[in-house]
Formats: sequence, structure tokens, C-alpha cells
Amino acid sequence: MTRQNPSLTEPQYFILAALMDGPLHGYGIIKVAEQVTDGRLRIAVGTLYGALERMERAGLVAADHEEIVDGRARRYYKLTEDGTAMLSREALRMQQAAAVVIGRSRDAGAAPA
Amino acid sequence: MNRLLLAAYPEPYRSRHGEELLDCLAEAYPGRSWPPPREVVALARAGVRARARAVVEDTARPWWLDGIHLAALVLAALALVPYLQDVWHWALRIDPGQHAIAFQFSGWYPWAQGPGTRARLLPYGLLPLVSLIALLRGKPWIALQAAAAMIYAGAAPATSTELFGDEGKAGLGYYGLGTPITAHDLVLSGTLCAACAVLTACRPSRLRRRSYRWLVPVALAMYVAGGLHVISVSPTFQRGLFALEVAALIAAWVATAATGDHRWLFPVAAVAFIRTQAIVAQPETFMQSFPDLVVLTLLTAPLFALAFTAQRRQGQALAK
Repeated sequence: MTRQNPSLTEPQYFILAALMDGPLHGYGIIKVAEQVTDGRLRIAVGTLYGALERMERAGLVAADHEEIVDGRARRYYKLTEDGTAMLSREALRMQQAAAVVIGRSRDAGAAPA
Repeated sequence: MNRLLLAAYPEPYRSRHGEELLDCLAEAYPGRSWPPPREVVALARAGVRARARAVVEDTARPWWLDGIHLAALVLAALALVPYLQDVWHWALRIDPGQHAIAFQFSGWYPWAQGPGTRARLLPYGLLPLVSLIALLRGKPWIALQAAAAMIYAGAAPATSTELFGDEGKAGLGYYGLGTPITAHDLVLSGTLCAACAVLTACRPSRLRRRSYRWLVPVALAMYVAGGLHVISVSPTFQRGLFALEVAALIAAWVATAATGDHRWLFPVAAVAFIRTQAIVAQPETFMQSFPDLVVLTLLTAPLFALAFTAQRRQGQALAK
């Protein structure tokens, strides 16, 4: 299958989605992604920061501000305009893809084994 | 959290994001010094990717020159592997006794002649070691001379030199995956020499200079092989080597998939070439643990996988 436009990976998609309500730090993103997927997706820390770095370079996210909590420096990340647009495009693409299956599965009976 | 977790990342990344990453791990796994294995694997993978991207972004040299440099490094390491124990014993004046590897040991002191053996001045393994260190430091003209001496030791009649005794003729070569290569099979030393010659001709000042810290695993391997008398033809050694090769192949694939760059194809192709010709030429039939066809497939399949991965990655804006 050839892809004309690059789509987001699942961790990238949920990282961007986690930032929709405002800037978050690394562990905050992991927790939100876990919550919205009912615990199905727990993004590994190495994967998170690799994805954040690539998306920062692509202009989809940007570093926002830093806070010191319990002696630890927390860097917050925010969604950019390009990131918001990319996330909307990806959500629409997945909605169209899901509609192809969900719309039919109610009418069509399962094929005999 | 243990800072060793960041070992796979390049130094600039560690100084920029290291603390933030460790703090995030500490928040996710409070009270632990090591996270679960899936986190360790993810960190190693992300580290290799970050390192690969840093290599590709450094445009001080063309990608193909870096690829040849990597191939030369791998070939020098490959040639050194069977002699780890011998070089360690020679350097520390240890008599291996019954643990000596296949060639005849010439006595406690390097210049001594043991009963029924020929004297040797230096161990053959010193040549690939010199070559490896020189290549690490970006000095291919020194590596070229060491590689040329390897060819000399392998090609000269056994009675004509006492420099390396008969080690260059009868000594071991590489024995991974049932592919026997002896030191007098000149394709390995010849290919290494050719790679060093190209690097020497192409303005060596442009070559990457790696830290001496890369020699730590080499010294550790020498210590283990020499201290525990693990000879290179033993099953333990072969399994360890196989695991190391698989890890290196996976790292090459991760780097290629992250960048779409073809430079990591060079070392993989060089090793595949050396070992494929050894199977085709069949200089010896011992140590053959797999059918030839299986070994050939295992050697050539990664080449196609890497080439396909690089091609696919180049067509995508965002890496997986």
C-alpha cells in the first residue's frame, strides 16, 4: 500500500491529542494517553521523547515553559497550529476509514466458517 | 534513575534532554533505579535512532565515505575476534598452556621458541587491533600498513618469516555461523586493506574520530576471553558472537529505518561478501553447523531488508 501523505503513528496521534487541552510535561502526556485509551496505550518514555523531538522538528509541537516540582525541572510542550491541523486531518482520515467498516458490519452477516 | 539508561544516546542529546528524560522515568516508576525491560528497550531504540540522526546530520564528510569507514571498522573487529585471547595473553605474559588457540604457542616470552614450535616476535592479532584503533581515531594510513602486514603474514611462506611465526598461515580466522575463514584466506585482510586505501586516498582529515571509550568493550572482550580462556572456536564464544552480530544488525536496521540513509549498508555488505565467498570457496569443511543455503540466506537477507527500509523511509516525512 502506497501512502501519499505521511500519517501519524499511534503514539504520535495520542501525544498530540493529549496536548489539545493545553501544555503538558512528559509524564503528564503519558498519563493522559493512558486514560483516554482506557489503559490500552502506555507510551514508553524513550518512545515519548523520540516522538516529541521529531514532532518538534516537524513543527507540530513546541516547548512551552519549565516548572520546578519536587526539585525536578519539568518542561511543558504545547500543540502548534500545524500540529492541530495535522491532528484534525488524521482524525478525519481515521473516521472515514472506520465508517467504511462500521457502516457495513451492522447490515452484513458474518460469513459462514 | 541510573544514568546508564542514557548510554545509547549521543552526548549532545544527553546534555539537552538527559535530566528531563530521567526525571520522567523517576515519576513514572517512583522508588526504582531501573525501569521495566520494555522501557529499557524503548530507550535503547530511541538512543540508536538519535545517534543515527546525529551521524546523518553531520555533513562534514560524504555518506559513502562514512560507510566505507564503518565497513573498515567492522572488518578490523572481525579479524581481531579470534585473537582476543592470544593478544591478552601476549600483552600480560600469560602462558595459556593447554588453552592455547589452534596455532602453536611459542613460549612464555614472545621471542622465545618453545619445544617443537616456531618462534614468533609478535602475535598476529596485534595487526587487526592496531588497525581497529587507527580507524577509530580516523588515521587510515596506519590501519593501511597494519592491513598490508596482515596480507603479508597470510601470504608469505610459513618458513620465510619469524615475525608472526606460522600464526598468519595456520592461525584462526572468523568462524561465525559456520563460515570458516582462516588467516591465510586473504579476502578479509585484502578487503580491509582496500577499504583503508580508499580512506587514505580520500582526505583522511575528513574522517570521523571516535572516542577511545569505544575500546572499552574491546578490552572487556579481551579480558573475558583471556581470563576465562574462552577460545574462539568454543560454542560459548560462538553463541556470544552470534548474539552480538544479531544486535549489530538490529542496530543497523533501526538506524536505517530512522534516517533512510544507506551508509549502514556498507558494513553489512562487507561482512556478507567476506563470508559468502568463504562459503563458496570452502577452504575447510570443519565448523559447519548450518547448511550453506541457510547461512547464505541469513547473510544476504539483511542487505535487501536494509535497502528496502532505506527506500521506504525516504518516502516518508515522519519516521515511525
